[in-house]
Amino acid sequence: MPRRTPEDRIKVEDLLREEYFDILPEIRRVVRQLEAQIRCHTLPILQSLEVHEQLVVKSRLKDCESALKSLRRRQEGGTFDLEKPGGYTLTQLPDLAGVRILVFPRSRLMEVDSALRTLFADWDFDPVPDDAGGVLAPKYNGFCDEISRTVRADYQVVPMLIGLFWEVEHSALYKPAPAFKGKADSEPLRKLNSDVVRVLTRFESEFEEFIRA
Amino acid sequence: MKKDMLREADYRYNFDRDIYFNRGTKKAFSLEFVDDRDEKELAELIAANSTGNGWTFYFNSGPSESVKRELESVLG
Repeated sequence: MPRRTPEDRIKVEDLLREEYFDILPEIRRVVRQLEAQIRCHTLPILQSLEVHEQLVVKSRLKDCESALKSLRRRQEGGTFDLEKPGGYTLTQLPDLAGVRILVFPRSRLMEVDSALRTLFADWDFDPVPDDAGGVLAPKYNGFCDEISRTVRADYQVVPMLIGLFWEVEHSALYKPAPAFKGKADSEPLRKLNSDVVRVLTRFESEFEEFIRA
Repeated sequence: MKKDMLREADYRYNFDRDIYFNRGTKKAFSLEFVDDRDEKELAELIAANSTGNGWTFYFNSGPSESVKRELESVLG
């Protein structure tokens, strides 16, 4: 929790930045632990991949400003209440530490998901939805109990083509340069984003049909 | 659809703040507020006359003065 008190009349963001750097070593330990566990439990699948199949594990810790923005956007009206500066904590975020498992093709995705589900049985399921209300990518969040009961982590199993697209798209839409701020996060771009995801999903299905034929 | 009702009434969506707003009528609805109301109630609030010169915020939990001030500066 932030060390200073509301009496310090310090901005909410500054209190949260202070908190972030207090818990950063813990976030790093959680990321390392989660990545190691996931690599270990997906190793048998990795060893059994066909030539055309891929499995890549990537980890990340949410940077300070992204964490602040993410927490702010969880407030109604996307705004911190300056009248209660001590009322927020970054530990409310479900994804301070994260691992993404990119899998190609989709048939391997369920296998990876099942293998990890047994390991993280008590984690909360919070999938990335697709346009039709289905699951685009299984996603879970919870605690690495051996390391921390404070820092929540998440992992997601993502179709590789979509995951790689997201890496570029996320930089453009969610971490825009100051000049793009407010412009990149627009309705037309969001719609195009959905179109890309739909086409990549179709490509993957078609590819799988091709391999099976 | 509530989203269509708001669009037809010239409300735009602020993706950073997750609010629908109309600079002409100076009214803003939080996403949570819109989600929790039915179409009839929302239509009545969209049609209601604005009170005073400042912004009117429709939130589930009434925004504090500091939140109002910040949103007013963002919305212009």
